[in-house]
Amino acid sequence: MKWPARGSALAAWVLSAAFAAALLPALLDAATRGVPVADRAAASAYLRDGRTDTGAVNLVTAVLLDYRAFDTLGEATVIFAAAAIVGALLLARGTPRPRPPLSPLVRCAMQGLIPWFWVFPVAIILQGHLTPGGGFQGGVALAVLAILADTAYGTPTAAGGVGDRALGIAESMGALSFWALGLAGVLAGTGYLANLAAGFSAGSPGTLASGGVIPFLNVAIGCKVAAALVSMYRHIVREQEATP
Amino acid sequence: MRQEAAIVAGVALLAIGLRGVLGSRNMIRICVGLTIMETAAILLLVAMAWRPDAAAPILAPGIDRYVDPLPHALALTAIVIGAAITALALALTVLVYRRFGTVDLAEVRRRLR
Repeated sequence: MKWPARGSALAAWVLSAAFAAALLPALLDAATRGVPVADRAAASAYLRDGRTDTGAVNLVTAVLLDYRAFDTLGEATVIFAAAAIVGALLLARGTPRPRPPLSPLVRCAMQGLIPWFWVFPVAIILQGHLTPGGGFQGGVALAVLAILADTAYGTPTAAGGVGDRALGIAESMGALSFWALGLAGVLAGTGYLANLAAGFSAGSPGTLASGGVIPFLNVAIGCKVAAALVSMYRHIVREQEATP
Repeated sequence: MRQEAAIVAGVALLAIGLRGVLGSRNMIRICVGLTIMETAAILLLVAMAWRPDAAAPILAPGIDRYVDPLPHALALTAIVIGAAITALALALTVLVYRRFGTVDLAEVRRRLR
């Protein structure tokens, strides 16, 4: 039997179209006749009290790292689990073969550019409570930086870049420090991952030193996400000794 | 109107991604389909947060209308989970390639028989 059978491309289109046809009216209806943003209880509470509750002006970060910080801990665990599973699935059996580095031109250009590339993710992570961004986005940008260096130089260590061991340490430290920062709330007698209630200072909202524990959580997440993504990338691209 | 356009685009992307997942033999194409579906879900989340003449939910002096920040936070969650799913799917693809030397699922199925 040929698989997929001859009609299956058509069947896939028909199924997808039926799915879209079922979903579209419901979403349009929810958008036009559903609860408007101004009347949503959670939205209006976040918009009204966000600044005084958290000290952060970026309310997305405020929701992510204060109101729903516990969710974010779970989310960080998902990344952790994914990195662990990818590592376990693609456990390197042979010794990894270093890929040939790109041309000297590319390497020279990278040498000049990499210091500048550092500025962007670090700014995104540190200003996560002020401007669009935060630990997740900045962590991804950091990971892209490391992947660029890997690609340009062939092997991770040739560029003086981070080795696998340092990556593991960064990942574990990121996860552990997020977890430990949450304990401050327990010690203060409020709750796990409490922010201002745990005695962190709100500072003056809109400046770098504000938002209580949020900037620290952002740095922890940034380390964690960057390390996890780079280690997953390295596991996926790692070339094996010939395995038929 | 703009919100409706974003919703239509999101649903269309969802359907295109679903077609890629359901109707492809190439595992890389299935991964691409998954990624398109994730993107569509994020677009739909942002579209549902929209309200007319409102700014992104970053408080600034002189602005008093903002979109709903909650779907934006959930969009971040969706992006993270999406990255994890993509990495896992690609890892499985690499495993299949190492074992069978191909990412064509029809070929894999033929070899398994």
